[in-house]
Amino acid sequence: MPKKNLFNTRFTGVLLIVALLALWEAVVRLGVIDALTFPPVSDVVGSWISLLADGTILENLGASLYRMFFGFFVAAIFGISIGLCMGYLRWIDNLLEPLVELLRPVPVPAYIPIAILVLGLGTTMKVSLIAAAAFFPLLLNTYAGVKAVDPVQINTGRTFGLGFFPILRRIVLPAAIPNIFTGLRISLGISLIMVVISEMVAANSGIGFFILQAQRTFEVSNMYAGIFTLGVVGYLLNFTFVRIERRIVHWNKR
Amino acid sequence: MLMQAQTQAGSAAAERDRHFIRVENVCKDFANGKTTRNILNDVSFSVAKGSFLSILGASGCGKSTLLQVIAGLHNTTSGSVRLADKVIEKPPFELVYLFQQYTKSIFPWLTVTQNIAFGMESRKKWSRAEIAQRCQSMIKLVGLEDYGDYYPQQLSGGMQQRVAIARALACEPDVLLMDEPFSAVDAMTRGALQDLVLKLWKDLGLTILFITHDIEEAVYLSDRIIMLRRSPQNLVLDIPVELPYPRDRLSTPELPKFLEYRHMLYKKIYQIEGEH
Repeated sequence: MPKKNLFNTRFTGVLLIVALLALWEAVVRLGVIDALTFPPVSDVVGSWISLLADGTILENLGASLYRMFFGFFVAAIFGISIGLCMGYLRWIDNLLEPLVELLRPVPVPAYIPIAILVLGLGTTMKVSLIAAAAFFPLLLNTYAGVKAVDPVQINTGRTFGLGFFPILRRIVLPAAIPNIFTGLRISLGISLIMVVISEMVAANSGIGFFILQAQRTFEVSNMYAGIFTLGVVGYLLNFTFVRIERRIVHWNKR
Repeated sequence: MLMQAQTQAGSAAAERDRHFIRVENVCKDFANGKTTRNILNDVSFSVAKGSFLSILGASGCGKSTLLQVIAGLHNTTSGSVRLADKVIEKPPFELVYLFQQYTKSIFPWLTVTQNIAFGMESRKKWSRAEIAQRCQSMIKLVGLEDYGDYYPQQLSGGMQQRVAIARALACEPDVLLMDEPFSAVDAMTRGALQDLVLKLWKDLGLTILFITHDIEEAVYLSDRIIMLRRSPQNLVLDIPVELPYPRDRLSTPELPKFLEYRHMLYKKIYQIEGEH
């Protein structure tokens, strides 16, 4: 029987975080580093609580999440459906594969100047950039999932007399679902990154805007409060997503 | 005159039953890069309705290809396969192919009941309520009561194979094509599954084509055995198995006739191997 030891539990991980925060507090309080660029943790937490209380954080977070999910859903619709078609139909694969391989390596932030030029500074520009960045992981994972469907499963559908679309809907899609969820999870993370970038480039609301604004107005503890918020939100998003994934993809024990 | 017409119709029906599945001059090539490889060369035989035909042969002799051609999963390069006089061009509803890789063939995202319903749902022959009811009776038929809500990965190999059999039979096929269905289950389970298949064959009046490596299994189950070898001369043997049904796990393999068949088939296999 394994010994019930403190180091066998997650408790040590939490302890490390607390220790690091305490170290940060101590180092700043002792004047080892400059309190102007590194405010003590207690100040940051104080700012965070008051920003939460007066609604500033929630307001900006709402704007960010709206853009993020908008872009993410657009990417999901296009990424999954094009991925399915490319994986299932050889001629679409032949048609699109070279284009995908050409566009995929370009980091999406490189498109920011074009996006601003063509779409302006509004929501459309941000949502489009988020969608573009979240699109490729979804496309590629869906495609890989379809390609990995065992021919035995497809032939099983055929021997039961299923046609082209029933095989796609009842066999290929569920068989590719685990890969599609991997794509969704990766894209969700990328969407969060992309919303912050786009808000730092041009916005008057959103967490990305808030962080940059705080830095420019020397409200340094507010800046950290914004980053804190992103950490918490990112964690919660992933946590919720993994729960949903486990529920739907229950047969895929990894 | 009416009598004559009736007997003519009767004999036509009898003729159709005698050649229920008709494999006519089937050739099958597979393209392999620049070269093509011939797998089946001018194979012809008929299978009577209600028979249990085993197909024996070493690996790579084209057994699975032949069965998949009959299932309508592969086209022929030339020649044709007819089922009740109709040329098979795509998988017909009257016929279900049971894959050797049954663990892959049953869907992990569906429960046992949902898997069994899968084939019926694509046929538009039964209502929702009928499908649910038929699922229950199929589950009982293959002895999987209490497992209806389980997922495949919670079942043993033998139980998964029962699910595949139940799913196939639920569609009320006339013909069952089985490709080494019991090669991956343990000996005890195999015996039980063999007897289950024999019982279902008799009770439901099925026609079964059964691929196996196992000579004893072929003799024990079938009323006719054909043996294949690599092309160009695929069909090397075609014999009836004249052992009484129902067959018995203990006494049938001890019959002198059983041992004769066994001896003769082994001899033939060794002879073919010697030629290679």
